[in-house]
Amino acid sequence: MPEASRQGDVPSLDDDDPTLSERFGMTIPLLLPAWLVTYPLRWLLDRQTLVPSPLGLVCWGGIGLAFAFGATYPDNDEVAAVVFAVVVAAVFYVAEGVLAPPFPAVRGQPVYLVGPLLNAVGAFLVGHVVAYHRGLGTVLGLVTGDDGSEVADDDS
Amino acid sequence: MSLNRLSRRSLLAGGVGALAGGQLLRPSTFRESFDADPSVSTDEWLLPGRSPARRNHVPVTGGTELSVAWDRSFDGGSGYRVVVADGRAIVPVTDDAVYAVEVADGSTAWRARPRPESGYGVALGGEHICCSTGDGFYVLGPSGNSKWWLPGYNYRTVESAGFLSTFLPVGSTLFTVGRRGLEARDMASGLRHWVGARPDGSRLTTNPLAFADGTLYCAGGRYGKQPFVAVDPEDGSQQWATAAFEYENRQLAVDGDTLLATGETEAGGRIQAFAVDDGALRWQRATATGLLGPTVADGLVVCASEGGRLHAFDRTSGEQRWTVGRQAAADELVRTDNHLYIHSPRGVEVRDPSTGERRALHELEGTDPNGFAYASGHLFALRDDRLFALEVVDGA
Repeated sequence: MPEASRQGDVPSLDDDDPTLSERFGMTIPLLLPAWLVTYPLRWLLDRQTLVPSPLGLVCWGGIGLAFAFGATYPDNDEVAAVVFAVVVAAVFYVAEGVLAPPFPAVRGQPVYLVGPLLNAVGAFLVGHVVAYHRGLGTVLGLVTGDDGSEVADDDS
Repeated sequence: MSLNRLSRRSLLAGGVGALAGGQLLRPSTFRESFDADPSVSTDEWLLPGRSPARRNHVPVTGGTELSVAWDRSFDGGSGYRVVVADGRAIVPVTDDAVYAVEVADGSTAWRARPRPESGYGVALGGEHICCSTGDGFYVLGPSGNSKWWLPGYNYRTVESAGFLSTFLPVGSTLFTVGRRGLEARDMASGLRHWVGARPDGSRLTTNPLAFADGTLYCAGGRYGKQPFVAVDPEDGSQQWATAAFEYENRQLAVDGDTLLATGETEAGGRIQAFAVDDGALRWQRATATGLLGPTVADGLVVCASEGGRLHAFDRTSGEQRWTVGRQAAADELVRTDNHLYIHSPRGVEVRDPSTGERRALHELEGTDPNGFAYASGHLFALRDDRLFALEVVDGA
């Protein structure tokens, strides 16, 4: 049996797991769906310009890369990773654009970044739940009472 | 702890909580309430023109007897303007730094260098110091400590002569011109209160030049045909606009119910008087050369011209009271109740404001008058790379 033939193996990391550099390489394509989502969102929020400011490009690129990198967990499938990147970008821009200015032009006041950072963390967690833990079914489950269980094995 | 070890409920609650916290800690939380109280004491000279009304008038007697209390030089380029408050004179020195100098003895209280090329004017408001450089707009605390800065707001100026003012501090509110037009910001936090709008909802792209009695007065564009505009400082809405007038640069001053506009035109110079209620033109006069910022007191408007002359007009009728010829070589003016002080290449002259007759001349070293202020019983004359403090014997 295949299981028996592996019983003497020394436990090790899966050799198929992508390396760090490979994960960075995988993040780039994930920026495309995130951009496709945030472009109309930014347009709707009146933040879209034909030529993005250098600061805006750096912010978007940095945030997008960080979230897309998080989406490339070794044990997650491609669809979940794409959903993660898209949901996080959408939640972040909605939270920042609708309810609060994202990054005020004022410099020299680091405390102004606390709100945007919390928004980024919140977007990450919501995106993680939606992408990797049965999607919107999680939210419905909280309503119907089918929720709260440990989810370590849900995605395996 | 791995995210996979957390329950969905925990993750979702954490995410929603972080998003809610992000909204509660929005930057506007740190903004103070709107305040545009321009009241100043007679010991303060907060910006070129002294107060936001920009009348260049100090309500003290003044005197003809002047004596140099101290003078000091600065390293680097020539100083640009001087403002005075809380016993200190603030001087931005081009290509060097912003200096705070003790009025008592001229010693350096502090030196701040937000950027090496600071030198585009300086002004005080709400216990903060505004200075502009070629790479941003900087606001310092009363001890010269850096508070905040706005990148992209380059070359903002508060000058009233030869430039068009692009920022104006009034109390704890900063009026300036941003990417979307006229705007008001909180001086303490730098955060925006509003962006100006015309009655039709379009952007109000105009420069803040003067403030008095709860109204902000603006003009658009340094060159070309533009109207003068009155703006509600509480919300940035336009109250009225005059017809468009051709100017190459323009300054405003407010005295009682009259808004005075001076400047340069293609044909020479011009002064106009408008009603502050509705912007109606009351009178206007033309001169051979461009007019600089006026001094206004006791119903008399005195302007220096770029041709080095002095012109005095009746504030109510516009009638020309007197003119002093080219020998005046006037550059900057300060008015007290009884005297008119003129900063010229030769030094400081004292003249009778009602006749223009010269009463005294105090010669000073240097040839390039750059800044002039009257505060704490002293006249401050910034010329070349030196600041002179002249004690004024009141009533003499």
